[in-house]
Amino acid sequence: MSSNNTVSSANLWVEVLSGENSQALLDEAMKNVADNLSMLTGREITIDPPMLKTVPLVDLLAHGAESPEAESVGVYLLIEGDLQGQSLIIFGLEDAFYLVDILMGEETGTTQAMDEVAQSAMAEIGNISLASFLNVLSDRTGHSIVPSPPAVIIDMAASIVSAVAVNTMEFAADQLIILDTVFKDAGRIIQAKFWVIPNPEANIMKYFKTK
Amino acid sequence: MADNVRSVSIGQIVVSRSPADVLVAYGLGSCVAVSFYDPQRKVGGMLHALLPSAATKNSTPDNPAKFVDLGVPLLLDEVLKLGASRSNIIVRICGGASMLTSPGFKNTLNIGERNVATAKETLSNLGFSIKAEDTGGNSGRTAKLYVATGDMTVRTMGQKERPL
Repeated sequence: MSSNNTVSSANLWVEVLSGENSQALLDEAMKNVADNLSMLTGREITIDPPMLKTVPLVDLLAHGAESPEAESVGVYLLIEGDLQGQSLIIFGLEDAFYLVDILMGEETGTTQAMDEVAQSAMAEIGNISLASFLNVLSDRTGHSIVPSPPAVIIDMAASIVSAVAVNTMEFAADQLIILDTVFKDAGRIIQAKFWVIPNPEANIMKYFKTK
Repeated sequence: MADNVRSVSIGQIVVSRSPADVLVAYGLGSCVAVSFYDPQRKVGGMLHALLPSAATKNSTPDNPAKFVDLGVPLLLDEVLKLGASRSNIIVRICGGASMLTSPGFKNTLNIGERNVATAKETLSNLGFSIKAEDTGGNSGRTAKLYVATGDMTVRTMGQKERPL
């Protein structure tokens, strides 16, 4: 991988997502997410192999929110530094309650609402997840790549998913590239969608459109 | 009669004169839905727009219905084509919430507000007044337009549908 710090964010994304060593790099990055989440929760968390998808805006809601009105908790972060983009992690509301109980050392069923404490626990999950992913990318490419502070959204799944679409404005893009995966615990009690979304700059869109 | 749900996704316009149809924009966050309905002809239509206006005015975007300012006139064309009469049209708008309220998300902070403002301005320029609106706030909304009756409802998380 290049360690040239003047490379553009779009070119670095192309290198990360479809370069010679991409598969190994993404697998390692996702494994790091799973390892750190496992350590944080004391549960065995696994992550499905990530799929790279080009999603037109009109298909975004159908793609990201199978039950569009499902009560959900989203953790939204920006990817900043030499790589630029967004990340979204979406949990069902009940899964989020369960996870908060684990993190707070409470008995299952204790958390019944996403109060301030529960929200900050979810923010921490988002922070650890994305930071674990980006740290591997950063180490392996020699570039500075960091997550922004997280924003927690408690709403219908479609409303949470639509938050990522606003970011197409600056780039006048009609579609998004999404690195799409799911993480879950061994008991399949917790399940969350984990998205990494490069900023849809013209260069990167052109590259993946022609693939 | 069984409802035939027709989802209106981001950047889409759906129009109908089929009484079984219910036009649904799910989970409007900062997006705005504009609904037109002619109660005489029983023709309805809904736009689900993402952004206030195209960044550059010089080129025609691939999907103009993504933008409020371009989408509203297109919605009007579509309902007129289906037989609606301009003077009968009832206009309602919904959405435009602020979904990301944390610091550091400055780019997305005002989009909902700007979407609503642009919808109002565009509708006013076309000579329409708004009969009802449910806009702003920090919660996502699902908007439904029942083509048979022209009834419109709004739902937020954990709540029942309420009439608009």
